[in-house]
Amino acid sequence: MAPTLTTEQRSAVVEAAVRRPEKPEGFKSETARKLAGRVDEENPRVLLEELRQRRPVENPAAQHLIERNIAGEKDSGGSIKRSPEQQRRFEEANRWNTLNQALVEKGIDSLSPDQRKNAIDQVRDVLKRLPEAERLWWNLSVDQINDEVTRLLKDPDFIARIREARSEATGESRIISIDVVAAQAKLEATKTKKGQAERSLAHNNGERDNVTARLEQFEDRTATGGSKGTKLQELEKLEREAPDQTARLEELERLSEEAQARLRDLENTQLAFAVKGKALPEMASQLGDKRAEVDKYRREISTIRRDLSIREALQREKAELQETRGQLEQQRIDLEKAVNETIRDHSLAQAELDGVSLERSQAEEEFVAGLRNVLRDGTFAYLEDKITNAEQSLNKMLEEEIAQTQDTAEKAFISGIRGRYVGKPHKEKRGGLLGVRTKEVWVPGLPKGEVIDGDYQKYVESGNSLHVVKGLLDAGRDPTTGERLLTDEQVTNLLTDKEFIEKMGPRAIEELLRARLKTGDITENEATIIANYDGGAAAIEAAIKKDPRGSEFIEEIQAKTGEEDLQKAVKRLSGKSILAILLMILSSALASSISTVDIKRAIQTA
Amino acid sequence: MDVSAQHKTEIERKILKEIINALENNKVTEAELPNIADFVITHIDPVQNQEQMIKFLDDLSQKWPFFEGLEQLERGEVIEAKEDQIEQEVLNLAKSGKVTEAINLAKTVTEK
Repeated sequence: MAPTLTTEQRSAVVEAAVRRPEKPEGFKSETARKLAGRVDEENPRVLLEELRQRRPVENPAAQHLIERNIAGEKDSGGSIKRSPEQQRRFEEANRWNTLNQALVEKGIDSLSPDQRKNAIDQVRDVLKRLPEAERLWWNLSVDQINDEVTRLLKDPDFIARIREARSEATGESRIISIDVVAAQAKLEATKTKKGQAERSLAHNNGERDNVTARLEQFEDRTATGGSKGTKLQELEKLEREAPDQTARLEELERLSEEAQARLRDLENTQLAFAVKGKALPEMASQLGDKRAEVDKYRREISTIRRDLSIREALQREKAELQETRGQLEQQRIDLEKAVNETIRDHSLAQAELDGVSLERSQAEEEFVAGLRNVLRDGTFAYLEDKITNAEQSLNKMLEEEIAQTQDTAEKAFISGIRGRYVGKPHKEKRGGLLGVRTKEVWVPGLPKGEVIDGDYQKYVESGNSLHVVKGLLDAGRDPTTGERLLTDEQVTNLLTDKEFIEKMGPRAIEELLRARLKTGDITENEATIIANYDGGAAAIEAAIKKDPRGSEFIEEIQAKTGEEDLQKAVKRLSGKSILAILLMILSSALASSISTVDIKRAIQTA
Repeated sequence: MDVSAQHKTEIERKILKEIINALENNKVTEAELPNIADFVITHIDPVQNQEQMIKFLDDLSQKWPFFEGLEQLERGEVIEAKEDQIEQEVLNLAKSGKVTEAINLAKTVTEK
């Protein structure tokens, strides 16, 4: 336990504990900056809740997948640095993963208010695509609709579908294997090569500049108004003098040899006299002169030889510089080619990295979208199951009815219902370009929607059930052979058979309305029109009486209208009430999954 | 002494400010924040009186020492409030002539 403090110590602690933080914009930590900007303005509990929501999910596999799939670069300390876009994706992936996991493991009541809202919104948006849901929720408030969605979110069957969708979104098939690191390494390698090639070229340029500058001393720029280089001037002068100098050199060498020979004679003569003890004073003078002559020749020879040597050196220097420049020029061509190749390689590697990075970003976005769409996909799967089951069940009932019916005309009629109005939902790919970014959209209606719509529109316009019955009789097929059960003539005869039409007309309308509710909309106005057709009212009456809650319906309708005759009573109801009744008695089994509207409310509040 | 909802809110705000300072001074990592927030939310709600608040802050400091200052501050405020209360009681006793009792009561504070 920490020690208690004196008043002074407390003051110091107070100052430290409650001091206003520095200006938020100066903070190093992004989180600290955001918190500091809000801590005095908002309820601290909200901020604490937000911090708590950052808790990583307790699913190491899913968390590992997120860490792996949305991977940034590692810094020198080994910690991962994500780009702002990656950080956004990372946080979004974690947010949805946390929501999905909490939902499937702990239920909707464990979610925070924000998570709960997100979950309800997603599921409601999917459900609203169902024509039935749209109509079933027609008189519900937003809160009531949300309650219906919440009820569904508590359904174990529904949660099982969400769990499956979540497994799919976090399964091994979702591992992103697009390798940006290899492309980055390749780019770095080409960058290094490019740098080396550029440095070699720069070195070559320096050497060439140096040689060119030296060669300028040998250049003749008089043709362009300039002057001759200093070394050229010197070389030309030496070359001009060279023939004379060469001739003079030969002459001097001869004279020098002669002078030296004479000098040797004089020296020998002097030596001979000296041995004999004689002295010739003039001899010493001759020797001095001859020696001076020999020295003079030697100096002149030396001067000429030096000039000739300088001339050769200049000629050699010029030749060497020209050769070096040629070599450097060739090197330059090779190096520029190499630089261009490395630039091209670098550009290609950059383009490859850009492509891979884009591909990786798209894959990461799709991965996040997968997590974000778990609820949507799970809801689709759940609805698809429900609708498929309902259609299969309806199909089976009709098959049994066909098998039990002995009368060929009735068999054809029921077979027609099965062939014309029963189907299953499907998904369609929509949008995108050349298959890119296409979205798979769940189509809640049946593939036979156009046929049903045609029958329905004709009936609403005419109130005559004959064309509906005709369509069903025409569609009647033998279940084993697939052949038509009735000929055109038989169908025509049946359509004039009053008894047959009175019996089958209401059933045809009932089945048409049932099919219509699954595939499209029935407006309140259309509901009124249908109820006011005798055939329509009879169909509604028949459907009500077949419903397990039939007596309850009849009681409520009679109470609402004060009319005993059910068909007449139905005609007195508002369009809203008639539509509500149609929805409740003719909607698919799916309707009970998404709505708990009760009979009394449907009829009395309309 | 009971703790009001307003006081709890103030404590939560002070906790957040401690977190901000700790983040800036590298005394806590971002990864710890959800655990801290969870601990605070879970443990502060049942707190009803100042003793429990001190206990909560003490537990919080045990887990994350950078909250010690806040715990000491709260503890000091509780003691100060208690001292004020005893001071008033001593005065009341003295006024009513119960000097010995007043001295004994005062000693309970001063002899600590």
